Amino acid sequence: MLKDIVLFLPETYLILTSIGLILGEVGYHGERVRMILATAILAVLGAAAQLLLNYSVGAGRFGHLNFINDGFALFLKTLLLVSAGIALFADRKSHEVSLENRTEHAALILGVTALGMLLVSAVSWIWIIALLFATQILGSLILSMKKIDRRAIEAAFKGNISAIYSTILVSLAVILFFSATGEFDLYRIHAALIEKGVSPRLYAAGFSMIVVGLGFFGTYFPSQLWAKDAYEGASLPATAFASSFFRITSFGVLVRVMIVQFSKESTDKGFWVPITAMNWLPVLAVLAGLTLALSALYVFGQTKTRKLLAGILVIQSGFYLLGLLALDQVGFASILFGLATEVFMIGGLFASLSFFEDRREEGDRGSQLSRSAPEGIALLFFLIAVVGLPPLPGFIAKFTLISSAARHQWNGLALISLLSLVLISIAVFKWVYPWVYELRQRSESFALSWSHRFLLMGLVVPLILISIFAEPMLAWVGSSVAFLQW
Amino acid sequence: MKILIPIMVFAPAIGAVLQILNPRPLFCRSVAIVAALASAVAAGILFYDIDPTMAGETPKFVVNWMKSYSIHFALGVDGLNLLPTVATALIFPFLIVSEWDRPSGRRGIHALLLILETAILGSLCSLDLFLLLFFFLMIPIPLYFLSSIWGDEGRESAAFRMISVSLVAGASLFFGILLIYHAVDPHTFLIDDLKGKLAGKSAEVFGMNFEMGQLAFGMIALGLALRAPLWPIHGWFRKLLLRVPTTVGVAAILGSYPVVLTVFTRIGFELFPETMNSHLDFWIGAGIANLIFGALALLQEKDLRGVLVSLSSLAVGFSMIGIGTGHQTGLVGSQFILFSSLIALAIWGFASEILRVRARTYVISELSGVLRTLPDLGSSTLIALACAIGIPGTAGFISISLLTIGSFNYHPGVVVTSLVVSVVVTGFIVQIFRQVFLGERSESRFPKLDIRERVLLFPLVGAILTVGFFPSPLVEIVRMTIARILNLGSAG
Repeated sequence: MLKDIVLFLPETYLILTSIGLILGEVGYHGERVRMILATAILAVLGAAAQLLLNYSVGAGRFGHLNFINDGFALFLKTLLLVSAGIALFADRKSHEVSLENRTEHAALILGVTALGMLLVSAVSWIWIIALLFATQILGSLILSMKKIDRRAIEAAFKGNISAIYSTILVSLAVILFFSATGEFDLYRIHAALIEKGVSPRLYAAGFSMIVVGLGFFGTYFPSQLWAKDAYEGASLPATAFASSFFRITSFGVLVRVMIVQFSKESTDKGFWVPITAMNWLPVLAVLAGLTLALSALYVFGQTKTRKLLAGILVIQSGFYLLGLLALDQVGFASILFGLATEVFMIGGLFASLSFFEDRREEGDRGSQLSRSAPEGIALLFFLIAVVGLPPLPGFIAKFTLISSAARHQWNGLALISLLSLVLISIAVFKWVYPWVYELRQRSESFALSWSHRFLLMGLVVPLILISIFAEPMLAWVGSSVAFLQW
Repeated sequence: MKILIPIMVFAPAIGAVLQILNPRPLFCRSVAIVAALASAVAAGILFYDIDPTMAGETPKFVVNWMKSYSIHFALGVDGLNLLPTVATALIFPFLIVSEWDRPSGRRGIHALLLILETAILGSLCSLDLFLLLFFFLMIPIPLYFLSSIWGDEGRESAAFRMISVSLVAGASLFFGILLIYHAVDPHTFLIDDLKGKLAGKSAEVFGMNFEMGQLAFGMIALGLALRAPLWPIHGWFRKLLLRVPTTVGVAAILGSYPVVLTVFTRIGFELFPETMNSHLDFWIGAGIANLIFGALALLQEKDLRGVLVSLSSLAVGFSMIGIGTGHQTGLVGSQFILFSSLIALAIWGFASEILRVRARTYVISELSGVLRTLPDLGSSTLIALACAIGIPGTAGFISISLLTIGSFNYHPGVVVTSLVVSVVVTGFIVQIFRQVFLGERSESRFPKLDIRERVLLFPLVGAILTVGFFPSPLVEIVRMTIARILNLGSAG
């Protein structure tokens, strides 16, 4: 019992803080914005400290065996906390979120993060479905938190609709597998599938529905369309948080389900193979290829900032699917490495962009970067990192993911992913030009606060460190995957 | 001594980062020039210290970077990359000095030039294919910003075309390297470990099976070709150089064919000797086509910057012919021409900028009789042009001589063709020199060269003449490395 309390402590703490923020908002009417954000950030730091306790408890099942405490889950929980911390910090001065909504915004971020942390450690389909639905609904509400803007409401609506579709599809798949195995637990379903076998049709239907259902959440083909519209309509800080959050949780669930339920360990250490005669890897390959190609073509045609960024966010999922295709420890490590870098890159990119968007006049993009050289350099830095060009860790992340596909002879897919990279890079450089072309001329400067400098440094330095110390980082995430319990 | 290699490569990058710290001009300029000079001094010591007989190990700096992917931080200097490396490290301090007095945006241009220098030197010295890709993909990024920000009218399409072509080139190189990496077991990117292991390997793409020598080398060659001013896919290069200040133009040249041809020679002869040797006719043909195109382009050049483009095409042509001979002397000549052409083009670039500052134009027909008011500029330019066309007493003569000897072994027709082109080019160059420096005296009197401008020209002229009269140390170092590579190829 005590162990269960300790292992639920970070999530409980975040949820209690979230409730506390709402109660404080209702009962107190003084100057509160700073206090709210400080409380929320402290809660994130506290939860991170409590994760250390979880680590010291060791690997094991808890919560009536519905959740698992392993390296994989701990790693993803840490990423979710980092993502929440960046969102709260970047949010504090955003002009897109009104002062009246700050409390709800912070409370939602904490609440969604807590649920996401539970989701990545859930091993029972009942909990996975419930948490998927809840996080998607609450996450969509974050997208709607923008000063009067119809598009933000539409974004939240699309997010909610996708949550319903996603839940229905995954629930149907779970019912199918339950009817065949009588189990909701991933590990027991796996054992039953091996022991009793299952009809190929049922298996294919269930598998397809899970992959497509999780695709709404993970924003990959054919379920990614809502995300482009939603990200375009939402505020920049909300988009940054939501895209990282949805991807971390969805790929956390997807990797766990693919390994635990649908694969078995190969005779080679660190490798897995699909458990039935149905080889589902080509299905994932097609989804990855289509996500990459369609998103790259979408991005290539964009000149509007938000549409372009929305496309770039969606295309990242295609790259993560490449890592999943490898079905080995190195491939999974590359997904986790990519997610870790993405949290900082996306957080930094949107924080920098938000800085300029909040200050510039409508339609005025020319030479904006000269108005704050540090912020401008930071924007370019994060942009190049997100696209995946050297010398930043985005390049190493993209390389490890593409290499995962090539390692298993998916060379055509590797070629498609490289061409997609070319297309999005060209689109980004086309988009960047108006920002820089008059950089040699001095313009009226935008003041850069010390707290914002602190935020930038807090994002740039880890990215540089990840790039330099990529090896220990990869080894660390690799071992966290190996920590998965069977 | 091997620690000097990373110092040479990364000193400029550190200088670029330090530009952020303090906006005061004195600090920024000092840091920029110190960083570039540190790199040049490191290159000089490496050159001085390297064993000309290549009997022992060449200097290499190898540390594990990402062990799980067998990626090494492997940089090295040998006869194959020494000349372009030294030329690059030597020229960049002059580029910094050239932009010393820019009224606005100096800090940015210095920082971007320094990042570019790191990328170029890293590409030249990489002994690990991943590291090569890493630096090679970095090159166009600072170039894009340099040309977008400081270019002339029409810079947007020039910069956009350059970055688009470079990205396609990078993707092609990436794919080729990825295929090589996964073709050997255990996987590795180290060129030394890959030697002799790729023969007979194949890869499957979209269900079709390809020989590694065809597919991987083909993709790498395509990627490299796109980044070189190689006819007929050189359009981006011309467009770029005609839209940027010549300082940026010289930096762009440094990041194009010297890197491309050095990497091509290394990968080709060390990893794919059979494919390389079976396509010698093709390389020679590409070289001759470039020579002819370069000569024809030179005939109709109207802009001082256009001369840089044409001379670059000629240098690529000569160098490709040297590579295509597959012969030791030809390959030495091919490397040598990279060195001599870079120094000559740098001088021409600086001279063009000095003229532009005074005459406010790059148009050749608007310049006349400059020699009378600026005799030192005229003499320096004359020596640089003499080097470019291979007049005795200059480094260019040694390059052309070695190429001619090497080509003769291949086919006397190649010698005749290249000599005919040389004669024609000499005629065109003399025409341009006459128009700009001789001819009628210009009405406007240009101010004399100041100390900074003399610093830009005289040391490089000295380098041309020194190497022209004492080429032996350089030739020996290159020759021994080439001999080793060719022996390896024939043994493989």
